[in-house]
Amino acid sequence: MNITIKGIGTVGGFGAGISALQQSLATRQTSAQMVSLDTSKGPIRIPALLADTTSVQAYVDKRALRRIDHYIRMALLGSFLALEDAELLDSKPERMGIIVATGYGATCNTFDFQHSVITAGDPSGSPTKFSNSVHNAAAAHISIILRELGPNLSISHYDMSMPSALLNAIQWLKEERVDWVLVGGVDEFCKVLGYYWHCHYGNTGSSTQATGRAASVNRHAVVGEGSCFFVLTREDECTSAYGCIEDVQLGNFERGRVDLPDNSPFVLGADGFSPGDTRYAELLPRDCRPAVYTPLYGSLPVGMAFDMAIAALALRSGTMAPSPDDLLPALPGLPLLRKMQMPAGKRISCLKLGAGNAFGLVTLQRN
Amino acid sequence: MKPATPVPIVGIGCICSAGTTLAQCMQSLYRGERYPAPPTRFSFSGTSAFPVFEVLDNFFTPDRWKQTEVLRTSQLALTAALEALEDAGLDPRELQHRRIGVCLGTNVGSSMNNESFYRDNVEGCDPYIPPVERFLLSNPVCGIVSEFELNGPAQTVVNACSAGSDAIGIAASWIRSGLCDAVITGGADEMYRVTYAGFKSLFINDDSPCKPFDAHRKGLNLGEGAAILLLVSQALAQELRLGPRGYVLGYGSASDAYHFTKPRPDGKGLRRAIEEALAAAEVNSGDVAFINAHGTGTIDNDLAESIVLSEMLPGVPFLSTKGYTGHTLGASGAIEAAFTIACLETGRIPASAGFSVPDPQLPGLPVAQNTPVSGSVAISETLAFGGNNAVLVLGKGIPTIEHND
Amino acid sequence: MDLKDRLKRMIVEELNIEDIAPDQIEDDEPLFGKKLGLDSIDAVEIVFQVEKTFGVAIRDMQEGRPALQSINSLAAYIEQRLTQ
Repeated sequence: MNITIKGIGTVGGFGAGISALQQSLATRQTSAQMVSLDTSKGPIRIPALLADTTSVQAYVDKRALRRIDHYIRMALLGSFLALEDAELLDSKPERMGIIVATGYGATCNTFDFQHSVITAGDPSGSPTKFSNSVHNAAAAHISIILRELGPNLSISHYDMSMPSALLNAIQWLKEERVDWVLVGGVDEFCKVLGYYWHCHYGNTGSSTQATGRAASVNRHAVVGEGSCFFVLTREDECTSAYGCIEDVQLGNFERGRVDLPDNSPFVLGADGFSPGDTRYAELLPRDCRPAVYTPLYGSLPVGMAFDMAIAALALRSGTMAPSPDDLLPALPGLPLLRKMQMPAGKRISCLKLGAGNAFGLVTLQRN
Repeated sequence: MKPATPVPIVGIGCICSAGTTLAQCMQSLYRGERYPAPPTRFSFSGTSAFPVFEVLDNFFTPDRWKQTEVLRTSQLALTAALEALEDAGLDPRELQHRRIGVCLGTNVGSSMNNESFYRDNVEGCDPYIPPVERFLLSNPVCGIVSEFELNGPAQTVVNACSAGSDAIGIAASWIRSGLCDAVITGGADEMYRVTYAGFKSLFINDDSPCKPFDAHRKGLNLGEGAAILLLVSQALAQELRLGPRGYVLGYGSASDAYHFTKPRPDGKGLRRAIEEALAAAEVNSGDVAFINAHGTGTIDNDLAESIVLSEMLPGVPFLSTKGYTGHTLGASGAIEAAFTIACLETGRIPASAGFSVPDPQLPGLPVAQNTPVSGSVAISETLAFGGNNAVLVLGKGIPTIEHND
Repeated sequence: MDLKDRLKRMIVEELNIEDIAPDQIEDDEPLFGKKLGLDSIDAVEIVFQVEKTFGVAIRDMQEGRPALQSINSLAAYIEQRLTQ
């Protein structure tokens, strides 16, 4: 039995849909822009990759979107694009589970609501904001809009949220709880995150004076937001051009083993922020020339979802795109795949080394 | 769907307003004691106080966990985890070098929901704790992973109020599929100003002690706590001679697909979740000894639940334990699973606290006093914000077979 | 701007009702009818906004329900509470 990928839907700083992601892979340029933020210490400017969700209105009635914020819109747009890519938009499958991974949750609403609670004398805040700040808000709204009564799960485990969500999706399909799973990751940029970036990177360089394209800023990290969803199903033969999910591993790389597949190109989730960025060289074979695509979608906890989409696109086209030219994080002792593309082969692994020495490894494979 | 093999529960820990151990909780439940009071963990003007169920501050945690950066949610989870391991008679060192997973439900313990993160940011950069550090300190799953030096899948479920039940259902599936030798599972949530304000803004708090399923119910009271269940594979149970206190027999979950704060009046999602859990466990509704209902005390929740239970499980006694614990959110499914196992062991369920006046609109009513139950299977169900429904079918432990080898 | 117009504007803006202009809301039409499509969450959101904007707190929904019938009833409730 195979867990196959039937559709992919994504939105991020690169645009909406897999064609926009492919376009950005082809040009190898980040589309990060400078974003202005007002903070208690005055205005700051930081580079960020932000998602435009205007096109969600093509799928969801305007009134149904009335209370739906940017975070949930990103998740909805990713979901609908994935269903459309799987050609399931007009006939939504029976027995479908929904799993949403998020590292940060609905940050803007969460912090807005916290702000009103902290600044008011008495605990008080907007009930709509509170409801939309609950961590399962995105998954709940997807089920309501799709009218899907199947199992519904939200996972928030920082940078391991996406591989965790996938682990459950595979379990559900294997147990035959469901026949389909819509699973994806979503994370939102907000002022607090921008401020965090500014505190860590903004004071040491030129970012506060920088104008124009963020690529001119000599930084190895750029904040991103967006969503990336997958439609998965169970098949005897893996017939999908995107391939199937061969393996998902989660654990601790200090205490346990990472079983790396042989002869597989790697896509690394190094994003310049992650404490695990410096550790890839210890685990990977010396000459593996991994690719890093984080500059295309930015740093966000569910970044692995975008790496998986890029890996699936590479399996479909047969070639792996080189890493982008700008904003690549420093990975000491590990030469990256640069400038030239290479044959994708039958298998690609996405590896993320994250907080607390946790790792997530997802291997895609096609026939 | 494939039938599910029973997964042994070999240790349980529980901490909430009713007590700091599972035994203490059960004692106060059977005595009908409950301790709702105005919140002490944050300030407010006297007029806005709704009663809550807080854990007494002298609960046990190792000193290294009492540093202020470690979130109370994590401290509660660790306390319950230590009790669960002790209950199993298991030296934590036995867990190292095996595939041990951790899967917990929480709300406040998920990455950026805690207030101090926001305060750090509005009050300046220095000293500043970055999101990754904040996550490691506040997340109860990370706390347990580092405390016991575990290596296995670690996962935080954030399905709002059903997160604890969902986490246990997922943990059982990790054992069944061979992914883990054992899973530390359950849920934890602390009393928190922001959730308190949120529930207040939704007008679903009762300004008096909550009265689930009662004609005069006005809403819920918030609570805090944690419960941890140690699930193990049959092989590990045998190897380490761990006797089961109970079993996870089945799990089902479904969505209402209706409204993000209101339960679906016909309870369609809840029905599907109960059907799935019973089918997975291969248990008939007639074999169910009792149901630990969600019973928050809100008008809509209790009505939908009463309708579904009276139709699907007619005559089966049920209760809500929220009258003893308050609504502990992400912990509630786990705390109630712990209570359910304890009740199967004693063959008796406590009175549904706060219930005295029957509501003519409710077709099914909970038990008004401590009630003997017979049978070895019970249901614990939870409903959540967003329309999530999660149901566990739990079984009584079979006395350990003595091995002579 | 008079109180009723302020309330209409508050409802349209805070509840994000994009397809209806404030002056399209009649003073006496039911707020929770088909036209506006409001529900229980909107009801508590209006309560929050009324307290934030006018400093008038509605303590519980039993008290709030009659006030939330229409723009007329809401304006009357606020005026009565402000003159108390």
